[in-house]
Amino acid sequence: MSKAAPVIKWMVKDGRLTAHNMRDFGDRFCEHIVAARMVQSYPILL
Amino acid sequence: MTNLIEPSATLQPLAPPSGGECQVFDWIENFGRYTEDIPSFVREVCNRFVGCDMPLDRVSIVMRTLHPQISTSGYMWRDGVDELSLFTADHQTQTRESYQRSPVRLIFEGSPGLRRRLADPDCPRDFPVLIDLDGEGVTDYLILPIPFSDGRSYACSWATKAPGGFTDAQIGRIQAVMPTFSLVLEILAARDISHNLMDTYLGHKTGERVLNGGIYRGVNETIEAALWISDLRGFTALSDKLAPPVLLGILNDHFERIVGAIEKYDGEVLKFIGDSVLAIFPIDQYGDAMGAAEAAVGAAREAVRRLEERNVERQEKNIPALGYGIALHMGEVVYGNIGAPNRLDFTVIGPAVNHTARIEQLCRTMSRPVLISATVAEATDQPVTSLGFHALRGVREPHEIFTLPEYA
Repeated sequence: MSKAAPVIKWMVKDGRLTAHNMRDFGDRFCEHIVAARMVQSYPILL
Repeated sequence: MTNLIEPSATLQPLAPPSGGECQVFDWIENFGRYTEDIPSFVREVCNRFVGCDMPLDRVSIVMRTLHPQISTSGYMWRDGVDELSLFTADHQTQTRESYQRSPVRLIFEGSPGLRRRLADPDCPRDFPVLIDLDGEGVTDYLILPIPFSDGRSYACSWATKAPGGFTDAQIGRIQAVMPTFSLVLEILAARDISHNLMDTYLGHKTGERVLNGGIYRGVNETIEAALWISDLRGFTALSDKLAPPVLLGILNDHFERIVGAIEKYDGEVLKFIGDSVLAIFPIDQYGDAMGAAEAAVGAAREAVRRLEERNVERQEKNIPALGYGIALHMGEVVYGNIGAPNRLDFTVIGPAVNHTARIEQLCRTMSRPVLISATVAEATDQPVTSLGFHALRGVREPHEIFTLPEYA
């Protein structure tokens, strides 16, 4: 399973249904990216 | 044996194990949102599932939409049939028995899903649709929610005629694909709704322009068009006499007949102003001025026919007939966004619009239902009758005004 798999799973299953707005979705997406060890910290994504 | 699907906590893991199933997942993730519309997307997903040994015979999607006449849209795929069947329901559908006794209602009201193994003779046929499907040879029926991000759920049913029904693994594959399937359906449905709303409030062609980026002040162009302004006679007096719901009924009926006539000739209604209608028949759309003029004159005749039908009905009930006026003119107008930077109207302005409005005011004083300017009279092949030269308020020179022979 790739590192991205849990992030994709979160996005399609929960993220799109529970995010309050685009900023909230973005914040939580970045947290999942970090949790999946795809990057060290999310500011570099911005 | 029946089985009520438990909430999402019991669903299979999302990650596709391998093989054919991946093709469905991969295609939805990578290409699904680029499909043209919901029927194309559903057809592709179903065909790909069948190509991966999923024994599907019938898949049905039912979703609410935002449309003035349609509350619910449905799409049905059947194995071996290339085109999906489309069905729609009006805004009264929820009160109908067919909806009340449908598993779709349960899903819309929050059920996590329902399965009926029709291959089992003891399985209850507790919805009329199950009796129909049983008769068709369906052995297993599964209906699941399509969750949207606004909290609403729509329904997707999956049916097979395979002996013994779906296997547990097949049910798991269908459940596993639902989140991604729902994600793309929501994108496509949102696109449909934005088109519906634009069509409803701006008109089809103008709505397309706005959706294609003509959204900021300064986006406008000069076009030549036949112009239409019509109104209902005595509306102010009626407003004082009639209760608002009755008045609204009269106004809606009037607009329905006028808009129907304009759209029959491919004109575009730009706006309603009180009891008035502003519409255009752009020359470039019809090829030349004659085409636009013929369309406008044809629409005026059709509107009079429809409005007179209504007046006959009123007179049969001893209710006074309603007067109206339709003015046609042709000229150059600025077509585009007009207003404040953050509150815009997509319409036409210019002297030609003012002339049309002035001609329309003459309908009352000249007691004619249709008046036509010289520009339209010259452009059309239809016979017209001159009513002489008349002064138009705010216009320096008198204008020759025409009508159709039947109203002369």
